[in-house]
Amino acid sequence: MIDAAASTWVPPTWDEVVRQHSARVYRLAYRLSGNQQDAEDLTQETFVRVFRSLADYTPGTFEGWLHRITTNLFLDMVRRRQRIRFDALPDDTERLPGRERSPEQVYAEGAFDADVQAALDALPPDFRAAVVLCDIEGLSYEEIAATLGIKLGTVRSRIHRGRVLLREALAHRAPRATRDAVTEGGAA
Amino acid sequence: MTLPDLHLGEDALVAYVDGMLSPAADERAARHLRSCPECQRAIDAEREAKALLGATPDPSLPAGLMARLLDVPMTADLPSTDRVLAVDGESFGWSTGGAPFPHVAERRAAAPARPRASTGPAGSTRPAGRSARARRTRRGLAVSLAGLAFGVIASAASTTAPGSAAPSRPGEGPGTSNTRLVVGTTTPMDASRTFLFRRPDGGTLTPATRAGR
Repeated sequence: MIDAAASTWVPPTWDEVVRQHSARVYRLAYRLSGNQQDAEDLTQETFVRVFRSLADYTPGTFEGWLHRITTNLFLDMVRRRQRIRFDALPDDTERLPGRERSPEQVYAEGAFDADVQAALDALPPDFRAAVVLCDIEGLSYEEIAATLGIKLGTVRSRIHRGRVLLREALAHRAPRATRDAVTEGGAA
Repeated sequence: MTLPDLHLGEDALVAYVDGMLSPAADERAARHLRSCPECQRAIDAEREAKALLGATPDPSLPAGLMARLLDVPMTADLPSTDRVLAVDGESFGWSTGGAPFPHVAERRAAAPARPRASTGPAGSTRPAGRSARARRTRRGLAVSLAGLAFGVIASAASTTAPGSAAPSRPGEGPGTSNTRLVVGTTTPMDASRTFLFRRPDGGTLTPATRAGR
């Protein structure tokens, strides 16, 4: 974290910037894009943008700035790809089917992560961004609204709908509440 | 999917789970939930989804990515809006405002194989790092432009073997005696190594090959 004492603020070295923020940027990029290749590209491009814009940087906003760059690069990327692949499909309602996983995979240690990621991948990108920023990055609604450039009501709606879709996709991961909610029955 | 019989609205439901309701609204929601199993189930499900996401491990940084990020100052394009292509005798290349992070300039200056546009006297007033040309494709573009503008010299220089330092040539620029020229092959990989600069004072083309310092 950059300290609030802007008056005594000393510009960090580029090494410090990278070492301090790269893991967070990569995590966000990875959860948004769902694969290492895109996550690496997004992370690299984020830091390129940061480097280019260092002159405009004002102390204290570094993390929000990084979130905003990474998320917008991701959304640009998916929009570009959607224009190519899914031109005819309406926004927000279409989603890709989740990947099928064998029981062995489901219960294997590493499969949890892949499972959740597959569920994330199936979300519409705008929902995914809101959910990831909230539940993985821990941003407040206000911060998410600023990051995505949307209203608070839209933030809440996207988080909620994103979680509903996640819950469906991950019903087998959440034995109690999720299954009950999805099937509208059964003893808790 | 819709939840038609929800008594708590979507907004309240999600904000309740995230602890972002006002105290009064929070209390109202809690009271409702005590008597409404349906809403309680929706809350639990929402919490479950949130918890699953929160339980995901941090992905580890892929090998090599850290090094590439640390190298960004030496490989990144400079902002195109700041780029100045000037043939009026001042500079050829792009200049930017002062670097707020001096170490960045140092990093660039320390790079051994980076041709820099500021090798001429005209460039010495600018921070070396910020005026340095970076990505290979951009180099190729700059070189192409130079080649178009000064075709004679470009074609002469393009006969120079890639990667080798071209010998000094007499200045043949069309009446721009004070302009530093950038010529070379249009192959990006080679271009970075065959930059030639015409010094404002000297009137000759000086090889800037691997002029990293």
